[in-house]
Amino acid sequence: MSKVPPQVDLSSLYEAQRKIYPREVTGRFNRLRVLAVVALLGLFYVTPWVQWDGHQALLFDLPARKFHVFGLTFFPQDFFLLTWLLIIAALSLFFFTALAGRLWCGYACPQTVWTQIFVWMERLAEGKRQQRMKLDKAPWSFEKLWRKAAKQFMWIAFALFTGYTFVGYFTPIRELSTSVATWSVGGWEVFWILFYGFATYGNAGHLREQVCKYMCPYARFQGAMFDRDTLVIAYDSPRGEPRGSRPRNVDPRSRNLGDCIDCTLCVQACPTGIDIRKGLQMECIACAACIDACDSVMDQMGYARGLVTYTTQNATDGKPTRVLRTRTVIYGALLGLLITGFGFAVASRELIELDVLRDRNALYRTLDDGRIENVYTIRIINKDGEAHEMTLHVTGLPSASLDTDVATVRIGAGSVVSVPVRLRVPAGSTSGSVTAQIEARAIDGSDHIVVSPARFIAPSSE
Amino acid sequence: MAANAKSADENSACSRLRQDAGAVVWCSFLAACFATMLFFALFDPIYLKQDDDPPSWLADRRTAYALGFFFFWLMTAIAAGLTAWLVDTRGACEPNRPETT
Repeated sequence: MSKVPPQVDLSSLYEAQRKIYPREVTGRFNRLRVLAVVALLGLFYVTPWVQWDGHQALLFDLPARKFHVFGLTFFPQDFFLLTWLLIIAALSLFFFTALAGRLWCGYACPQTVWTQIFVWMERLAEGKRQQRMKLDKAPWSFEKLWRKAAKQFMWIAFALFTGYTFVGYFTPIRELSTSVATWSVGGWEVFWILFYGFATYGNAGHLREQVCKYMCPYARFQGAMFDRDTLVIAYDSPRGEPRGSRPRNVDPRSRNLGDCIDCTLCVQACPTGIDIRKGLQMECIACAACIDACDSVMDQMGYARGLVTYTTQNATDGKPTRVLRTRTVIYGALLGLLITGFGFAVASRELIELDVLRDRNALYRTLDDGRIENVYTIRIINKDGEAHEMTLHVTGLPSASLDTDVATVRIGAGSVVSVPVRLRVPAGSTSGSVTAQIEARAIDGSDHIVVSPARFIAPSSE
Repeated sequence: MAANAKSADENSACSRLRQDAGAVVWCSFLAACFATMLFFALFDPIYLKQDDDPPSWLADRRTAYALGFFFFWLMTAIAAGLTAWLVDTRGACEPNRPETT
């Protein structure tokens, strides 16, 4: 008989979600975090308003399929640069994680940054931690109603403003502000403002730490980048234990106590609701709120700071911490290489591109004088910051002549021009499918020459 | 006592459903973002205008991008949701699975 394994009800392993009321803290890491919030949110809300050469400095003009990044214009053809940039971003994340742990989570992640602003607004409307907890337990009253309403009003207004700014990266924000003021915003703009506003409201107002705990892939794999020299937040357990309360002016050693007074302020301050004294946990986003909370208590008690502190596994074990090590050197070298390569690729990219699209309706046409004609649409993409004047030519097919409606083509800075082009050859000079080259030459003094192959089809001779 | 335990169980099951839903929605959203970027970098919906079929309103880039995104999101959410559900219900089908060493 096979043994029946004990049944485990998986659902009972999931703790019911309880609401977390993070306690307000002051201290050096809090100042650093506030600074990061102001800088990053400032950057987000101000950037779309910056002008460059008469256009929005940073504009992802999706309807026109053009990305303006300060003086540069990118087109979908430059997609590999975006991929490259994403790889650089991912590798930077690895590099900084190996070096300093979850620096990203604690200070720079949009989830953290917006959550902090939303918690700040909540505090403005509902008061400090104890007041918020009391308010939530209390039955509905006029005070509870207006406090909750004030919070919701601030949250929704800020979320809508965030959605509006976000859409301003894709639709010129100055035009958007005019159309918002005159109630004439386009349907898709309204939709995306509401969509992004709702995402902000839900993530920063309601989901908060649950995003980090249950939804964030980075939170799950960041541990793989950690080693014994990675900066982590840790509780100095040999110094703190045994924990316990004591009067202020009593030597803890005389009562056989460590330095932890078990005030649980570090737990109350934690935005993810963990107890750092239990050791490093997956939920810890390394925001350092517990360090500030503990330091303030240590100051009050007259003990040395640093019972909860930034440290490394090696430092805890009394070994030296190395910043330069195989892992960081490899990540760093790769990152340097990729960033240099990216700069080179952007600087040396072809500023003018030529696409040849064959007319799909007819393979070829026989003219009255017997010549064979193929029709194409030529697209010239000018990624340069200035306009160019170009002429079109055909090479690679000696008998062919090129005919267009315009003698020269003018392509404005950062724009695309389509020109219908006809290639003609004398009857019988070629048969079947051959390849010609269509060439665009700048005649404005710049030495741009771009070439693209064009398939020419003539009736086959039998 | 027993009633308490039951309600705690229901709570945690409900909480778990929310967590799973969050993971499914978020991961499929990320995948849909990538798919939309890649797809529309290579395909310009304006070319749909050259044909009568599919409908010309889809040739408006804003509409095509938005609908394309939600189409990808629907597809990735179906995949993520089914995967979550299959993984979740796998153990319950064979309670007498022999113990592996």
